[in-house]
Amino acid sequence: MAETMELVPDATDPKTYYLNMGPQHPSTHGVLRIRLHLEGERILGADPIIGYGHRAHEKMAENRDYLQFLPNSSRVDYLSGMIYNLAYCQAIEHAIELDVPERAEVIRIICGELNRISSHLLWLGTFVLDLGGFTPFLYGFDDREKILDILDSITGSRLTYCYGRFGGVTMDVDDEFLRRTSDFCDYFKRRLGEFDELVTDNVIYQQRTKDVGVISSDLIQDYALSGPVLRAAGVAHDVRKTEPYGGYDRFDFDVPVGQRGGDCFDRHTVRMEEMRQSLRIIDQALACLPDGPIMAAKVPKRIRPPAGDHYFAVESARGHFGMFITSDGTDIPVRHKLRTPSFVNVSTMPVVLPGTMLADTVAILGSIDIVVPEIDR
Amino acid sequence: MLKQTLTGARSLLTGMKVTFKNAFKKPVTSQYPRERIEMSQAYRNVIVLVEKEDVGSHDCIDCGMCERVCPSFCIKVEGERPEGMKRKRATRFEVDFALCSECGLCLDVCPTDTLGYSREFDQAGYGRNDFLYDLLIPYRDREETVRDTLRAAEAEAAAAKKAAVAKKAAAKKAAEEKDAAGDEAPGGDGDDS
Amino acid sequence: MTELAGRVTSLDGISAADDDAVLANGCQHVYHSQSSAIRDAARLFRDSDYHLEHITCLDLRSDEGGGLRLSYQFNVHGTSDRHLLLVDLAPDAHAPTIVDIFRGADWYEREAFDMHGVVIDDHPDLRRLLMPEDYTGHPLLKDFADADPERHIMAAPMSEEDEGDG
Repeated sequence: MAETMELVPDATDPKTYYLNMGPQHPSTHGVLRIRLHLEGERILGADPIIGYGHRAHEKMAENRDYLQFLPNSSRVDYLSGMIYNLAYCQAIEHAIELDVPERAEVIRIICGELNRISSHLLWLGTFVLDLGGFTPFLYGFDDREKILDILDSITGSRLTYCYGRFGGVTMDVDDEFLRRTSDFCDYFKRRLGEFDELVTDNVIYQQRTKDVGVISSDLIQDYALSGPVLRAAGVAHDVRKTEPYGGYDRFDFDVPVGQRGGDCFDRHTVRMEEMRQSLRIIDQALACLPDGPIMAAKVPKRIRPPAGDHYFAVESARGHFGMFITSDGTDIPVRHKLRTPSFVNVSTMPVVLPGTMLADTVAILGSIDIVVPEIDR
Repeated sequence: MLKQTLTGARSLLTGMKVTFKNAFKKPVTSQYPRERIEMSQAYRNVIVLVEKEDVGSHDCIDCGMCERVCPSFCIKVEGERPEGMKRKRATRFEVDFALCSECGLCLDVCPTDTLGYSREFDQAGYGRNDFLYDLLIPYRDREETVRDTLRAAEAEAAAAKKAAVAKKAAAKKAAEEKDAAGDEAPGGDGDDS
Repeated sequence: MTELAGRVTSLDGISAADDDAVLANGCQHVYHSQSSAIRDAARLFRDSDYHLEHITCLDLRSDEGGGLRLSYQFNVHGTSDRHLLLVDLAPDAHAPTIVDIFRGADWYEREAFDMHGVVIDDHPDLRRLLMPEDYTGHPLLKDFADADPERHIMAAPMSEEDEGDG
């Protein structure tokens, strides 16, 4: 890219210098390294260097059968592992044309939306922490803990759930789970108001985020942005709406969009509103949870999708997560490409960062909600 | 300028109000190890062999399903067919917990449902080998008795089956004889019933 | 066939894939394309407000007559209308860049170079993306074997003598 090309050392200008932000930096949220070209505090060029957390998920997928990749799926993004895990199950079900019982679908939606809220809460906490506010971080983690406890009660783990199976889910939900979930929803609706008072209305926070890091509509088509970053730029696109997978078409929810042209504050308001919409979905799902089995009656012993390409996309907490699975009709995929949203969002950094100040880099990186293992896979 | 100061002060006060309210809430942290929180029923940790009531021990039959399905290749099972028994018994069941990712696929495939999760939560060790678990340890000392019982039960079952087969065969034979007798001498004294 | 699909197939070197021969679950349109035609197609999609969803490289050399294949997938916001272009590369594994058309292709092309060794001609900054700069080999090739034993992670537990090292 033209912007990365600027990073060729400019020996004639003694005022510019290079700075490595990361691989160990508190606000890169993991081992992401950004090589910044600076003039004073102004950024002239940025070059994200990724791969420090590369775990070769795609290579692993090519060396094991479809079922054995299941534990990997929730480790692609450990903050919304449930969504990724269920997405993989849905992708395979889509490929082998396996129908999931209605109860399992609704349970999946409840768990997925809970996971989305917990992911957004962690984003909110760490983002405000990056900007210097410590209190919302503690509150966010407290509420996130409540979600993790709820999910723990049916899945047995707190981050890497491995809850879905091809054709359903591993464990049925009980009344206790439903009661706790609806209690949480009631509580969290009030709590979101507190977050708004504490964070959204805060003047310092607004000044740090408004008109900072504008990822505008002209980058959308170039980079195929997705998720809250895309919606903040004003495009009401949500995979849950455009290709309703897993029964999302049964539920009523809105797709929030940003009003200010895609700056950090827009991304904040979009995520806050998304949490409210997730609560709406959970409320509806709890009200209509049908009885019945949680596993499809006939799940093939050997998973062999028909030879060819299979693409399946879901809306994860960070955006459009797609899986491109190429099968040759055997037990083991030929290729399993993971199209992850953070990868795309971070690849815009060479364009977004130049011209901003070093301190704003922290805000911009925080606001696009990166999860480094998801970039590196 | 004045307006800015006023807005700033107001937003500061709003924030303070929220933190003030929260300051009087009960702490959400629990003081481990003095306090313990309740563990989830679904809690997942290293797998264990569950005691089955009808066997009086674990019921691992060394089918190797868990070994095959494990994505991390962390299970090793060996077994033998004890003398005079039809059913196999595991003689070795090791789990390398350092490799395990707690996905639970082994529990799903176990045909005898003899796998379960341990309720341990505070494993620690100085090396990787500290996490090699021998799951048969709690069952080793009574294995011989269990085998004797199982053998006896199997023999009993086999005997019962044999008896049933014999009875069936006898009944069949009797019926045939009766038919034959009926053919040879109509109105003979076959046991009509 | 939609109007756009008709315009794509009218390009030189692109033909619609036979529905019976090629299965592309989740994609509405599939084409076979020559690598020389991909830039024209990309430009057409760009003018039609489509975006590039991903570029995936596949190693099909074990198939008869197969080589490396790049799959370009285009989609549009607001609805779902996926176009999948399958580009079978010649044995020298060269492909033209589309970075000047879709800037987002930058990292995908670098990934294809890094993981499969596809040389993207005219790419402004063709470096490794995920693997270290001094790495040799292309890990996602089917015949890849890491020559450096130091990088091998032991899958088997250590022997008894090694205990205590951890």
